[in-house]
Amino acid sequence: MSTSSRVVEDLGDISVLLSRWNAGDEAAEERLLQVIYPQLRAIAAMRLDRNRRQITLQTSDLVQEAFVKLIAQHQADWKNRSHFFAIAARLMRRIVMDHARRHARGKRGNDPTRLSIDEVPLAALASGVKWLDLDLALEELTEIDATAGRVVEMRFFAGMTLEESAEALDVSRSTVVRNWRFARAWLERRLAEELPATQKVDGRA
Amino acid sequence: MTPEDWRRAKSVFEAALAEPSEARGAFVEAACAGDEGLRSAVETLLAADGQSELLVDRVPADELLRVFSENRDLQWLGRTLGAYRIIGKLGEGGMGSVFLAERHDAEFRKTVAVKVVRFGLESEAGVRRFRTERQILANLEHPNIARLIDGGTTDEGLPYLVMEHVDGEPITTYCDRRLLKLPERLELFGTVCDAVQHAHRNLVVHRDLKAGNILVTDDGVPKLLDFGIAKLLEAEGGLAHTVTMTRVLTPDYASPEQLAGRPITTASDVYSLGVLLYELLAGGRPFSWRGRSTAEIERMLLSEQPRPPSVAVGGERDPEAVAATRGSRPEALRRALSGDLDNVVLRALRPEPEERYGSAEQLAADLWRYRTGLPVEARPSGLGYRAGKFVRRHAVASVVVAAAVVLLLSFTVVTLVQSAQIARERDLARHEQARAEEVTRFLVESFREADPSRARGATITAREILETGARRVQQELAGQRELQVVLMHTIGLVYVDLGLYPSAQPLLAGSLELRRELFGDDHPAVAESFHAWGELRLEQGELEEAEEAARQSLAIRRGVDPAGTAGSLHLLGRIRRVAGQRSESISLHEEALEIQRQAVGEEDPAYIEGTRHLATAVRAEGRLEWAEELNRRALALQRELFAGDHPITASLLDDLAVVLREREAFEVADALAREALSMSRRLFPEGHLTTALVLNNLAAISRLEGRAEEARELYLEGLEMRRALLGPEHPRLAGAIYNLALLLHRDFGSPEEAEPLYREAVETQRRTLGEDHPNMAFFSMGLGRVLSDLGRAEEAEPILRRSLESFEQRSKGRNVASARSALAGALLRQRRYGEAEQLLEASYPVLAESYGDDHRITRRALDRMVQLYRETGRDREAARYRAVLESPGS
Repeated sequence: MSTSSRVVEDLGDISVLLSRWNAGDEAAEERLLQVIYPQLRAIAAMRLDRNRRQITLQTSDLVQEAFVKLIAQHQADWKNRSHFFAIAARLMRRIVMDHARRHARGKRGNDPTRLSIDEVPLAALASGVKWLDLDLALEELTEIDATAGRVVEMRFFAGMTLEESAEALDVSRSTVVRNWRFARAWLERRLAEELPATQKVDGRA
Repeated sequence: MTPEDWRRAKSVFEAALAEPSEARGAFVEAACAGDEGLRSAVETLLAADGQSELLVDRVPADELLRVFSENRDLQWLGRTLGAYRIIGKLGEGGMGSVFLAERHDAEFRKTVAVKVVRFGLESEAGVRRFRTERQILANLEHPNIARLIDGGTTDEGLPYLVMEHVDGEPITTYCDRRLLKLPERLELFGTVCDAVQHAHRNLVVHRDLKAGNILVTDDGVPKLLDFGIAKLLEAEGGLAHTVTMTRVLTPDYASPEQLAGRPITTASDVYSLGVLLYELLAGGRPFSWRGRSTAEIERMLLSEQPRPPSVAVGGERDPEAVAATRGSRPEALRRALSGDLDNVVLRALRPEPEERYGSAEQLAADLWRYRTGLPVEARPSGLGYRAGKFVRRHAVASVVVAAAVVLLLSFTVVTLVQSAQIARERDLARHEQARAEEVTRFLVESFREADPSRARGATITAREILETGARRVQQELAGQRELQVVLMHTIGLVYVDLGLYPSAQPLLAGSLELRRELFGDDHPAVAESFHAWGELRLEQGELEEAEEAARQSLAIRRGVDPAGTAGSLHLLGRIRRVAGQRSESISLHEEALEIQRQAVGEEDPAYIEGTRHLATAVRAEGRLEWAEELNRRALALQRELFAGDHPITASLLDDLAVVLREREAFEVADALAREALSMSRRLFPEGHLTTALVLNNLAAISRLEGRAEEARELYLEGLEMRRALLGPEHPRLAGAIYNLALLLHRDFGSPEEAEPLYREAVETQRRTLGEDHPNMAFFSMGLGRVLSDLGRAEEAEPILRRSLESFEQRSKGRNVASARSALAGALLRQRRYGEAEQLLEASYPVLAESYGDDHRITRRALDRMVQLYRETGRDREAARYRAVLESPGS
């Protein structure tokens, strides 16, 4: 009895949180990340073992599976799918950036035997990349064009396909392609400082 | 640049991309209209767009994942898990890594295999189930099954299993490398079947049988690995895992039902064994799945027949080489395989589980028959085929005959397999073969003798076959007591199924006695006999004896056989329910159900059956809400297990309809009963007891809803069906006749039509279950009431008195009250007011309490009280009771 009513609460919780987040509620984002992060981590661990012979590991599969699991556990609706992918992409960005920040501080995780994705040796991320600059540049890009910013989160951080990104953003595939090509080129050249910085605009433009 | 500038740059960039690349320069120049900053930015972007491997083209998370995984196994070396220290890596499984470990506290060094599963158990229930399953597997002891020694969860919550470390090679490699010939391969395969059968008897299905899981040691001992592990890991549950499980499974050995995600049974293991046998014999797999999608594979498995092994010799490989590794030449190998071996393999590989061998045991038995030169079951001319033809020839009594034939045949097979196991000891083989042949001959001759001319067609009945069999068992098998006892028990059970209790009695009593003599008092076979005896005595209404027998079987099974223990407890619970001790009945069923839950889990037919028993007890206690919940739960579990039409699903729908009928939710009850009826009709177009039971329930609902005519038709149809299926002497007939009589009597107001039916019910009951059976009290009360209504009160009175006495002995409150009221009615007609008054004053309050003043039974008591007081001139009392009768909504 108590189990089923809790599931119902969670279901409400997740669906409501997803729509609130979609409407720009920052608190909802925090809460969602807390719910989804452990799940992603567990799935990542599991999938890794299966895909070890593959050259590319599929972050996007991981997100897919997290969603299937979320549905199974919370009886969430497929309608929440696009919101879920969007938040998962945001989450992957944070995982990568947290890791990069720890790298920058030169710290390791406390327990070397712990098996979680955030205890990966710090050299894992390409050292040539200025991660913190990249994060700032992405903020800048989002300021210029929010859609382009979110496409980067999905394609770059969550490894999602063009189709998945289009579905999550509820736009056409060609819109994703256009934004992705711009974002990709812009971030590359902006970090190489071949493009000028964006001036802060005070007040309303 | 401002964000606004960038947005302009973006739209120019995007527009330029739509231009052919050679025209872009000019396009951008024109679009920027002299804004040099803008133009330069767009050119830079366009240049970058043309390059590959930009910063954002790699997915950093993927790299994190990769490095993460490379670093993990290193971290495991040297770790201790429980009493074991990991010293090396053995391999990579679908669900995790397998390490070599040793006991770190042991004086002697013993290595084990430790399988660490790479996902956590997320729920409390998951952990519990993991533990239960692990316990079941740990109890699985067999020389050819790698033992599960220990298990637990790591600090980070990952489950791990400690297993016997087997140093060997996959069975196929082993056979090929040693150039084993067919007989040697079959012998090795037989040992594998024995091990699988042992697990099946302990309710464990392997689920992932494949050459890689069957290792043969240097000494030639096959060992099965990972028994039940797939289920164990799946136990943690959830859609995601089921989905991934299917992906992890190698489709090469998976059965069609496994690939389709349908319930997995012992027959699924039989299928996998079939694939293995195919491979051992022909050197290839029945199908080649390389490069095919799951959906394609699924479709092919269902629609395409594999090539017979004899045709497929070599498969994609070189036939010469394949034959050579079997010490043969391709032509000789093909000849050896074609015929019996082809048939055996193809039967194990049938797409429909029920068409395969029923168990690994039966598969092994058939191979044993092949090896000893007997005709195989899989061949169309086998006994099963002959019996099948027999049933088809005698279509009328076919349901009943089929039950008898199947039971008898299954025992042939059991005996054969017992033979097969002992057959390995060479000196016994001949004796056992003779015994198996004896059974076969015995059965065939029983058929023949029952139909000597073989010309009577449909007139031969199951009864005749059984009578012949029963007689011959006693006379001709006196010298072979083990065989005799098996057949006595079996024929006794068939008699119970046919409702021929007097015939069942000496056989079951005799086999019980014989078994105690042969095996001693605490043998499983003796428990089985006690159980059967208890069932029989319960059906016969001999509750004390039934209880004694159930207790005996329980005493033997308790602690050694969980499934049997649960069975005995359920039997005891049913006995207590019939005896009116309902709360004891409920606790017994609850205890049994808990044992079943631990032994087989909830998604299991036995658990569903157990839930039904509990629901019935709970409903008898009048706790209808709880009963409804249980019925719904059983139905949900059943539907998880079997989607679509299924006999048990129909019965469960009917159960639910009964409880809802009692809760007076007639509309829903009606709809459910109709669903049950149409399902049952689809399943058994020619009629079935399930259908008859549903018809009875639906008739009762129709009657309660005031559709008397419909109720009459339904009762009649159900009754006819019972007569056709059960014959004239079955106790289940009496109830159906009684229901129809009651309807005609009460709803059609036709006591004349009802009287002979009541009599028939009473007589049938007397003949089949005897005078003392609890149901007799109901039937004779009905007869007494109808006689009394027909004005034959003197005739009715002794019948009603006996009925009342019988109820009083069993002390059931409202039934005693009904019987008192009925007797009072007969007495009133004879103007014997004194006793009638006593009876009614005692009866009415009880009826009002348990049925309410509105119920027709209570109203009849009130009518009688009004009549009594009016005729004895006590108008005030008469008026008081009339007021109760007339008060609206009372």
